[in-house]
Amino acid sequence: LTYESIDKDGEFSDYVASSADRVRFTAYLLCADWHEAEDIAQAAFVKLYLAWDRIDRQGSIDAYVRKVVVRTYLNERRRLWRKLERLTGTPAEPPPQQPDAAEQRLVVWRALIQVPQRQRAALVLRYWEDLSLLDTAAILGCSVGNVKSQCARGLQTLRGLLEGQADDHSARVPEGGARP
Amino acid sequence: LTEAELIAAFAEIRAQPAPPSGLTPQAMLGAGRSARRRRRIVALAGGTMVAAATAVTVMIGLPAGSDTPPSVPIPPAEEPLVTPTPAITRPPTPSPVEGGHTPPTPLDPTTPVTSAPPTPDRPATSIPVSP
Repeated sequence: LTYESIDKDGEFSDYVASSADRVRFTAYLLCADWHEAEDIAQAAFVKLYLAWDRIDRQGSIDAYVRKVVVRTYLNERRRLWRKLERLTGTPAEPPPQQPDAAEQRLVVWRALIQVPQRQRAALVLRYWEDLSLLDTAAILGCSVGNVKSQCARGLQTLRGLLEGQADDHSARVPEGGARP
Repeated sequence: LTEAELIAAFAEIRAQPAPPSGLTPQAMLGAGRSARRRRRIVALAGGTMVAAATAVTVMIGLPAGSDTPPSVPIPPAEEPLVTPTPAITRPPTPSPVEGGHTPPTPLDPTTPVTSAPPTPDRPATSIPVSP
């Protein structure tokens, strides 16, 4: 090991320590599964390690990791089979939540995971990562107009799904609260 | 659902406790190093295979490239039948004419000019003598 590689490993470790949770959560918003989110984040960090010398340090590391996460997610979904390789232990299940506190969030979440994957990726990048249209287009590998239409369609799909869920809920629970 | 409501929903989801993460810096370093090692091994194996394939192709292709049949020893030829004929004296060749005109190529003076020997079906050429 040279001093240069030790420095490189140190910088990489610092970056992983500071950004692992954020990257994993972005992957979770995309795939809606903590196990798969961890796989995607791991693949992104491995690719980042291999490309560490090539990447310009001027703030583009985050952009590179975001791009790898989104493309890994889209490519994994495109495959017929998926190679699930876990280099770490299985993450534990999240602690159970109070049903009343998570009710509204759960409704939106259920609707979000039914949105088509490219629309969901556009929504997450635009409204969670707070990226510009140009940056989102660069990550998704499409035009700015396509990003606009994906976001608009994604929101429309979400609204439709939420209305459908509300209709189902009102049909199951009639006026007065008495179940049939 | 508006954009602001979606952003708020994302923030709410983020605020919920997540399962413990296995993405430690040490684990990522180990994964990155093993991936780099795998990549180097694959590159080395690929280069070796290409070199071996090239060497085998060259070794197979060199003898196959010459399609000439194996050489057979040629028996010694019979003595050619030489009919002694008088040599014809050739006039001296004229000197090249200046002015761009190329004179006809002279014959090789060392080669003796012989006439074909007479055969049964072709009599010897006789030059009629003018009276």
